Amino acid sequence: MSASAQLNELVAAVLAVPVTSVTDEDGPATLPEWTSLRHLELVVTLEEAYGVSFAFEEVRSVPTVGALRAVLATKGCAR
Amino acid sequence: MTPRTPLEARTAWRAVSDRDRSDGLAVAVLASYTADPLLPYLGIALHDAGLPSHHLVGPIDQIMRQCLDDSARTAAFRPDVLVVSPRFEELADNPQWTNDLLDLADAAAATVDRWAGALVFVLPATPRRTFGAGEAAEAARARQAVRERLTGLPNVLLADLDEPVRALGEGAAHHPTMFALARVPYTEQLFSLLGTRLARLVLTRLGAACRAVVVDGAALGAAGAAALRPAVRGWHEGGTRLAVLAAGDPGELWGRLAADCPELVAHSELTVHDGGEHPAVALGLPPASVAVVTTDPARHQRHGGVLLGERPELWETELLDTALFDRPPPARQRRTERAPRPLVAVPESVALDDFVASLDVEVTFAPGTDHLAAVAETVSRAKDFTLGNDRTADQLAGHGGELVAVSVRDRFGDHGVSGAVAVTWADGYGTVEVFSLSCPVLGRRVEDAVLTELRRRGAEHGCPGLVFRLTETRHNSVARTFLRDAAAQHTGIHVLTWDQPAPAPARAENGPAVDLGIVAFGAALPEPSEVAEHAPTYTDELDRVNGWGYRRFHRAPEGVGLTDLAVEAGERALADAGVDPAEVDLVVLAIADLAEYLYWDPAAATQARLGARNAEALLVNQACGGGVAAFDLVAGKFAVHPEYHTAVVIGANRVVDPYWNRMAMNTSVYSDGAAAAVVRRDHGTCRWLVTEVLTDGEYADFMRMEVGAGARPFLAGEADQPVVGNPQDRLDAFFAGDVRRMFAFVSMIRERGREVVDRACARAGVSRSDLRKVLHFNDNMRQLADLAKDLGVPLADTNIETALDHGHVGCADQLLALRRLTAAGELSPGDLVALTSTSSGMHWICTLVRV
Repeated sequence: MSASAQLNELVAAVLAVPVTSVTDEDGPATLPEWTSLRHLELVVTLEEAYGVSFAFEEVRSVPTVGALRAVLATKGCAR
Repeated sequence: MTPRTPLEARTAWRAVSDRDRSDGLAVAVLASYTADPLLPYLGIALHDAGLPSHHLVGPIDQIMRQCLDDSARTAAFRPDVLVVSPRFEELADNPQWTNDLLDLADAAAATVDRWAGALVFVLPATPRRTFGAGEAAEAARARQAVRERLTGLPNVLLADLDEPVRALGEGAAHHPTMFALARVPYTEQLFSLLGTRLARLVLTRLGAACRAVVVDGAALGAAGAAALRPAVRGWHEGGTRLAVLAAGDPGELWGRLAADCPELVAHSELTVHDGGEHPAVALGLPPASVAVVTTDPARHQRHGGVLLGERPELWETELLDTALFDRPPPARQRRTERAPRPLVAVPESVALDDFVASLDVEVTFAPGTDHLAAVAETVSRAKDFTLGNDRTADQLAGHGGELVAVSVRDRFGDHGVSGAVAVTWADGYGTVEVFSLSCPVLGRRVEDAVLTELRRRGAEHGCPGLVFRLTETRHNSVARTFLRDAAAQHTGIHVLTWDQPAPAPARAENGPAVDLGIVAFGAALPEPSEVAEHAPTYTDELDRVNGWGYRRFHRAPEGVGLTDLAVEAGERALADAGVDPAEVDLVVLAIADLAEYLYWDPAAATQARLGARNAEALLVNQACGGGVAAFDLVAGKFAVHPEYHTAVVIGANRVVDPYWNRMAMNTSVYSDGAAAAVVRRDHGTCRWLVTEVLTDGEYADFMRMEVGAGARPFLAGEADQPVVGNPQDRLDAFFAGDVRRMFAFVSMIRERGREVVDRACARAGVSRSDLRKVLHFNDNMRQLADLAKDLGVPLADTNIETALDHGHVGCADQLLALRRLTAAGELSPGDLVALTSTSSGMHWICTLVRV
């Protein structure tokens, strides 16, 4: 699985939505399942899955999956 | 089973949590931090052990409040298990840790006792931050004190967060980013360990019981099926679910069972085909809670459960030796049947009001534009207490109305900007589109303080109403409940969604003819005397006087006259208002007794002595109602004199003892004293709304002294000292001994007292139920109780305390009571207060003011 597909899979799994409904443009504003609590779970899931740690500023407000992908890219995780 | 990784545990929990949601054990978690990440690990561990559960995480850092408040969310959830997990970091600063932690432990233990549940108290981990030796020792002391306090209590279990923290190491246990993000202090690994340990503790208390029995029908012969009939009946009657395991043709199996064990046919939910998977899967239950009863060793090997022996006649005994007849915890049944015992049943526990008071909460307000970043941050992060209307920092900055930053301090520290309000004042309403509070300050009545402030500002803007525009979210039920309760308690508060029409423009009630309000009060009360001590010098009817309930009264020294008291009260009110006497346009003096001299105007004398040389003076002699009726007169004067802006209203009383026995002439103990109010045009607090007066001159002769005025002037040298007669003699004389007329008179007094209040309310466009306080003249205890009953208000919401503390101070009573309540902070902006009186003449008077 590509890193890109893996991120979508993880987001979909945490939010309990079909992976087909997750695009780079989606985020808390477009996915009602993306609640603050789910956001926390998403953060820790990504930390576990990619073996990275996030700083507060990186994850306090993530507008879209694409933005999340960009943050991961800065940490050396393949986009 | 291989231990799950945290991710696997969360995924597994998500798969089962929907199914377990409404059944099984109800587990509530109260923590001083965000404890939601704990749930998957606790839930899945309980599920795996055969104890399905559903959960509630209470509001963050509201452990004590949720424990004490039987109407709060946690109590409504009716938990079977209450997990309480405080952290030292959220407790007040050392050295109070031991006391604070013990308070929490006591409250939690008392709570589960009341709720008939079990408590799992999580001893807080030793704080991570660097502490001095004294603080580390205090943490150890606090942990030990709680351990000793809770150990051995029934239904209380102890967990220790230090253990998983040490097992992982400080670095792997704490998650600073998540704490900054959402007050989640720990890592998933820590929550995973803690959840597993908590589940193990819960299982030791509640155990896991068999929830379903799957009978291996394929292995049963006719004799075996018949031998199981008593057991099947027992399982069914005990609520255990039943299923049949089939290997071949189910039709043939059911035919056999119908003949040999009809109970199994009647009560089985389904047939499970033995395809290798554990039958629990088909039942949607964890395997540990499903027992397969079989005589087939291979199936027993595969699925576990109970392997029956070769002799069916012994099966009943064999089954009794298993746990299959043990019942699971009766969680659901208890939840529907039991009601929390009242809080008063736990006297040793801290009461909610006491707890909130002990927090020393201080709420301050500042322009939101001065703290825009913090305000925007608060608005974006508030989830539980919010109107649900998202606003960006730019939108808040561009908000056309008033933006308010709410800062909170309490004894736990300074929370900084913790709330925000955006409100627009127009058409008599404040329309609120942002009212957000951060979770850590909830449960401290900050929301009440903000509402009070909004109502105060509304009064200043001439907007008595508040409209909260709400967007319902999945999380803002706390705000919705608070606002709807507020709307039920106060008139003028509307909670509307955005598609609901705005209420009609609100003029303050029906709008007074003249806008005026009270700026300040003053009083002059001579030294108090004890009624019980002095009553014998006034009357022999001590039981009668004692029955009135008065505690103290005021008697002016010889040489102190009515205008002396009036001037003193007026000067104090002017000083408190910061008003130069020369600015006063009108002095109104209301008296019920005689002034110092005949043919003399005490109002004019008071004006002169006050130095209100530019003021008109007006004497009101409407008996005890003069101080209340005076507001109408001020409004009238202001209406016809647009240049009038400031008035001083004074009610004064000085009993002329030779004519009037202050404890025998009526049904009150009369006092000397005066109260004053500085009244200003267009002032926003204690706004006058309306005054209503009923007069019935038929009774004018009831309260009179026969001698001394024009009809029968005093004549020098008369043998008998003239006095006012006692009430019984006056009744007899006035009604010529007709008892029915006397009774009708007394009934009429009460009836008209209610009528004048209703008429005033009708004129002001409010209802009697809107009244926050009714301040009558300082009548005796029984009469005030009757008044409260007649008006449908609690006695405590009258002037009962002022009355019993001061006695009846003529027409100063109502101003004294209003002054007392205002000074004590017992009135909130927007409260409606009725000043009422029944007075000789007779008059029934009611003035309404909006605080």
